Amino acid sequence: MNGEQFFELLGELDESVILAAAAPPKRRRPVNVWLLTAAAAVVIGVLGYAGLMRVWQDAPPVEPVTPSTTAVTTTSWQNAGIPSAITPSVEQTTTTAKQTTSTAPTTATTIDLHMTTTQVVGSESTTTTAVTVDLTTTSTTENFTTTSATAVSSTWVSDTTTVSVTKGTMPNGLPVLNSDYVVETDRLNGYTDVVFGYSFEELEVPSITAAPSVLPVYTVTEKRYERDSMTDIIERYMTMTDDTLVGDIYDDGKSANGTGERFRYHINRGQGNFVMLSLIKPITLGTPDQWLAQVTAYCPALFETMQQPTLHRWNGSRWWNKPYTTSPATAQETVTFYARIYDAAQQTDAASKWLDGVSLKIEDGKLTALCVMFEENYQKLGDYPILSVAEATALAREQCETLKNYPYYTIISENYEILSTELVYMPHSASGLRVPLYRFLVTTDGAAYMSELRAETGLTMYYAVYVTAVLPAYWTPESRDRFITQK
Amino acid sequence: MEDKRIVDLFWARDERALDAVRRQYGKLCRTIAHNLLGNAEDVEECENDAYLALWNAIPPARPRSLSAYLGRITRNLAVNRFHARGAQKRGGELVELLPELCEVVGDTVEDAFDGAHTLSLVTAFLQEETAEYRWLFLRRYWYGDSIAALAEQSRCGESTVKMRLARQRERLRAYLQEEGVSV
Repeated sequence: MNGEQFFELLGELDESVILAAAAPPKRRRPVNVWLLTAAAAVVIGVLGYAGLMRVWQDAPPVEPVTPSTTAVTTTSWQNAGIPSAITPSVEQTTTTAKQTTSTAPTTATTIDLHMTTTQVVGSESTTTTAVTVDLTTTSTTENFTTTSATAVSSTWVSDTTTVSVTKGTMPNGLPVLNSDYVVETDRLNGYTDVVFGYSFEELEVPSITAAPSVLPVYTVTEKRYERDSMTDIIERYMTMTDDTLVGDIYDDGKSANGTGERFRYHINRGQGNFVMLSLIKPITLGTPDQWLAQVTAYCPALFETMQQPTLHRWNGSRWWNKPYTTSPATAQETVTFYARIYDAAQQTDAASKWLDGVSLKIEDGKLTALCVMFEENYQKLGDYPILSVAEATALAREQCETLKNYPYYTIISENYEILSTELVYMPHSASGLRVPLYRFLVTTDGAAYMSELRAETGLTMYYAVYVTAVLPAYWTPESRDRFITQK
Repeated sequence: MEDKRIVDLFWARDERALDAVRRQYGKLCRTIAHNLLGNAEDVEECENDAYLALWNAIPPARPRSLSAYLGRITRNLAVNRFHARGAQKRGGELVELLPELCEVVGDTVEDAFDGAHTLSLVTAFLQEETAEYRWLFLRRYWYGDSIAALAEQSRCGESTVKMRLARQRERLRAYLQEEGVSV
């Protein structure tokens, strides 16, 4: 072994060892013996005078405190068959203190809004008829931060010529949810903190669509972009936007001249700024009922406390992943669905169950894992009056100063034409809040290069910008919960 | 933002994860890369590559500590970049570090050695060291901190740091030799 080999070997030291060096150790101050002796004498004198020594010895037994808690079950599974053979191998129950949700009777409110499928917003809606999702086929995403407020912007490039949002009944008030992100924990293939994970013994999946009994039903369309055309789009984008390319165009971390199917390109713009061009195959997801049947078969524990679970799938994606340390030949295909589960029998809190994602890992055509990301235990801060679409639009257009304190706030320039407005929930990562937001899909035809891009490639680029939907009167940066008590 | 939340964003393929990581651990990345490479251009590219590598590694990975995980990725990338550069263009602390480590394990390139065993021995050795010495070793040979930086952080002279590191290397060499590792 030489120094280089040893240096690289040290890189594999366990995380716990590495973290020990994060901060310099505190050095002990030299002990002043005289001061220590004097202090000890004083303490002994005081204790003796007050008779505390006797009290201490005769202290009554302390009654165990029984906090108002709810049991959180932590369940682990190991490699299991599907679905009947999935058996908890280890089960233990831990108790975690958490705040109870508001028991005030509230109406069940279901939000299921997304770009190209249906939305349901209403006081008693519990189901959605969304069946087919025509996902955007290509997307770019830019993250940027303004100096005054956090702004989140996503950009889709899509060949979907129409973006429609089904109009539903707008509610008067929507809940703001807060969570300490209590999750049930499982281990999947050695990973920690995966909520529900099932790994399979290399289940043979000759064709994804040929395994409806295993996977949620969906079909992959024939339409796809070839690498060359995608690269052309990227290069055109670079040319038109005057973005400075630093480094290579990446294909899942590999340079564009690698092998494998081109799926996601990262354009490194320097200064830690990326543009991601994603080639996402349009997929048609199965109906919620069909999928629900599959998920419940895999994850019975997920639903055991629910009387009438209804599931709302609201998005989905599919990507290829080439792990950093593996060869391009071992690209993994992953399908992710996002969903929410509502217990229709649970009238007090419709948002009691949030299933944030189901990932199916497919390696070399074999289903190897199913992971369910599951959030629950949201504490509802209250139902808050929300802005109307017109008000939100006006505020965003006017670059309202008040809104700059919101979790999500983006200025919509005059150059942007608003194509659609959706009411969505998104987690605000910094505060842990789940806040109703307006998502505006806007075109950027005001910029010449976008029109040119569309003319050349047939693709339309949309930006998505977000504005917090809660009325400004209820927002307070000073409040611990970010929203004042409901008036 | 908590690591768990950031990791969840990665799992959801939410690009805000990169933003969060950059804000939270960008400095760490740059520090490691700068320590090891000492070149501003390399540092920036190394940092960006680290984010991309992280994006590609999660999922399936679910690291417990993002800082350690990202730090390891950055370190590996820095080493790769170090190798890729010609000997004359190399800079940074790696140039100084590697000869020091040769004092511990020798300077013979071995194709096959029991890395896992050696690693466990090093871990055991570090656990036996005092917190101050453990910190010193890891900051020097994992994070690539310079002698001057270590002296400043530990509030002692550079010669003291050098002496402590030399003694520690000697102790480690003797320990590995005692445990049967050919050094």
